[in-house]
Amino acid sequence: METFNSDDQVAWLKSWWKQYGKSLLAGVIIGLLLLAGLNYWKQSRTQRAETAALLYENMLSELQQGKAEALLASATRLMQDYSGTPYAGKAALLAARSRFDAGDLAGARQHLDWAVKHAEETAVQHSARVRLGRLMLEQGETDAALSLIAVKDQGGFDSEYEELRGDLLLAKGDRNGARQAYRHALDKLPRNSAYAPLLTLKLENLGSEAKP
Amino acid sequence: MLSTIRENTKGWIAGIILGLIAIPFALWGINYYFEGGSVKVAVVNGVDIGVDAYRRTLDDQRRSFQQMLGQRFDSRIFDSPDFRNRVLDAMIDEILMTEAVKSEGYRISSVELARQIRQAPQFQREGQFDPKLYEFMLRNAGLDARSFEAKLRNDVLMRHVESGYTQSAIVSTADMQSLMRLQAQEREAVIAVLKPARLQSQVKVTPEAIEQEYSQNAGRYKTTERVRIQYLRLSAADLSKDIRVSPDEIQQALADAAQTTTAQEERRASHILIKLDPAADPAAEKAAMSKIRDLRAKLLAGGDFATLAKAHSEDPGSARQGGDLGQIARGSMAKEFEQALFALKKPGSLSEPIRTQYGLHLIKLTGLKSAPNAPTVNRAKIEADLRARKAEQRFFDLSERFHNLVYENPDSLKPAADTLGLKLETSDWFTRAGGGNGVAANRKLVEAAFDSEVLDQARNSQAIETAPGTLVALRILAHEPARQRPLSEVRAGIEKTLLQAALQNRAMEIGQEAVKKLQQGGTFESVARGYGMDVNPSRRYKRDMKDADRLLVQALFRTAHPDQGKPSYDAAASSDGSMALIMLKRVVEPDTVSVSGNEAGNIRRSLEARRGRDYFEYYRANLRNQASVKIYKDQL
Repeated sequence: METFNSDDQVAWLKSWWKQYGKSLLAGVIIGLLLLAGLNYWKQSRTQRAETAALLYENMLSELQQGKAEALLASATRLMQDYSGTPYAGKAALLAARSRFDAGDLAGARQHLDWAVKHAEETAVQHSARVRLGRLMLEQGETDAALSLIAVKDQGGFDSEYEELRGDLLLAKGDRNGARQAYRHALDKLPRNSAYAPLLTLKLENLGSEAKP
Repeated sequence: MLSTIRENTKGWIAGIILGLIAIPFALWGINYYFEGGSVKVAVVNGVDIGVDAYRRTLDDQRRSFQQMLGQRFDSRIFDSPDFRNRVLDAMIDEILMTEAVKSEGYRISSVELARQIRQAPQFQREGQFDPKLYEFMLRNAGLDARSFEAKLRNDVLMRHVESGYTQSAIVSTADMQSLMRLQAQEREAVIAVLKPARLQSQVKVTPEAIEQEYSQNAGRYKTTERVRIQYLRLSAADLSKDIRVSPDEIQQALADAAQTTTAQEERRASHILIKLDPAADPAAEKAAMSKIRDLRAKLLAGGDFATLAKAHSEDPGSARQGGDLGQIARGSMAKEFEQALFALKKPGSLSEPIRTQYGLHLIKLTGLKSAPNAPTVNRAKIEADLRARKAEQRFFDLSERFHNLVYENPDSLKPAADTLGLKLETSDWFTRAGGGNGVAANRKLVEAAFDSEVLDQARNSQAIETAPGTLVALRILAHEPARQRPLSEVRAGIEKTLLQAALQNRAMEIGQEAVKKLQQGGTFESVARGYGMDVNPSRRYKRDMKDADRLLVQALFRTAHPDQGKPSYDAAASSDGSMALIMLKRVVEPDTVSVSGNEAGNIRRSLEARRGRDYFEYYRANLRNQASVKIYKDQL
């Protein structure tokens, strides 16, 4: 068995420290900094989400109390400062509704457009897109609306997309296209939906397909 | 992202391992041993739903439905695979939502959560959050604070998700108007009717067709399994008829009632106290007495009670309030004090000096509050109550014997009937579906009758509480299993049905022929009459018409719009089986419709729901589509 005397060991340690000490220290410090940074990032992300949630709760009560101005101010803050949180997209949807209720269609469209482009959740993007399409129909921009809603993935909103497509095609006078779209919408409607009778009304008004 | 991949892989590997494990299980069926342990019914994105949790949820759901539906509760529904699947679906949805809410970054701070708890009215007493009440409510619900707060957090976050969709629905006036115009639409049409009976000579039902129908749809020609039962009923209401109530008992009850009425009475009073030790010597007693008599004289002469109390009363607490003692109920004061107080009848009246252990009092009655909802003491009601109470007691005494007698003599109800003096009754025939006016209207009894022990082993059922205060036990008197009815028994019926169908088919064929002829340019009247139809005069139809056939109106509103002034045609069946030939001349829609009123309200709600609540449903459905869900069907 090989043994070192203590002097040898100390000398060896000293030379080792000279050679690697600095890099070791640097490595440890960098590691700690990274850890702290990650922690800080996580914490601040959580904090941002929590602050956004508070703003959002405020919005809901402002909506209920009909305080449109306060609601829009909160929504703007959420969209500008908290766009990384899911609350920003929801805020845009609520703001659009509030603008619409006040008769400001252009404003409503702006918010919906923002949600289509920037909302974190795809379901919010779909909601915004269908609603935006409805407002475009209301303002007679049928072709633009048709191309807006021509998306590949309808994300479960198939029935809404197809009904709107039907409404748009009907507005353009394409009864056959509209009928097909309504039929598709009816097929995709959730089971037991209370909306089925109204959608059926739209479909049946266009007559059966067996027409020469 | 990373976590999804990891969880998917986990699920995938678990899948293979499970596949391997499944082989020995399939061979020996030893999964029985793991029942209730770590067996799972589903894996949702790597999260297990254990069989224990699933069963517990199933039981909870069952129980709450049972409570809600009472005797209409039909256990068949809750044992059905459909119900089990729905419960599992709900559990899966909950896991998916919880996961999605987290990964999408919905958050609520603990401070905010605490604020919401403090603001919840159910945890408040007099407008203030009460920690004791909070703890009490949680304990009552069987929760600890940690799990309640976790659940609440989850609920709040889900509300954040949901409200974004439901509160933001946009419904425009134009939107509503287009639907309302459709609803209000009227259609001007001429309709001709062909009664199928006229086609009698054109159709025939052959014996082969009847035999074919009989053999192909044998299931339709079976009788339904049915039973008749014998039963015993013990009911408190019946018992009360035989119960005698003696005049003495009524007298006593009347007196008791009067007692409780006054006991609940409250009085407000003021007093003046002159202290006097119970063991005081006669001289002290005399001095105190003369002092209080003096005060009483001053009061009777018009002196103000409050002023005199402040100046002379030796009860410092009340003296400061001018002698006021507040509301006093029976049982809260010294006995002598109470007697004197409750002897005073009118507010303002003053008592004689009263001696208690504290000293001498003068009492002034200042307010009277009679017992809340003091029951009027009514002899007839007292007697009825007394009888009901006695019947209840008797029912309680007998019910245990009823249970035992029915159980100990499983082959007959007679011993129980004889011992308890009850009458054996028999029911009419009934099926598993139950219903009707008799005993079969009660779901619990129907289920008991078709229970395998009762039905197959011909034993007594248990004593069943069909309603509070009613016990029933039953046994099968006669059982008729489902059986195939012979062709001879059903031939006439089949022939009639087939003939009806053939006539209607023929009528529809004619209708379609007629539509073709019309489209080629025939005139409506001549074509219709050519086929022997009755032509109704032209008229305007509405969707909700009461005086027109429902199916016919529906068909009319499904007919294509007239094209460039040319009428459109259609053939449809109406509810009485006759065929209607339709000539739609004009579709009329109102230019403007009012968007207020009932109907408009319905449409607005419906649209708002579609664009709000439904969006949330789509969001959930989409979560489901993207998730990896594995269900172990054999564990359900």
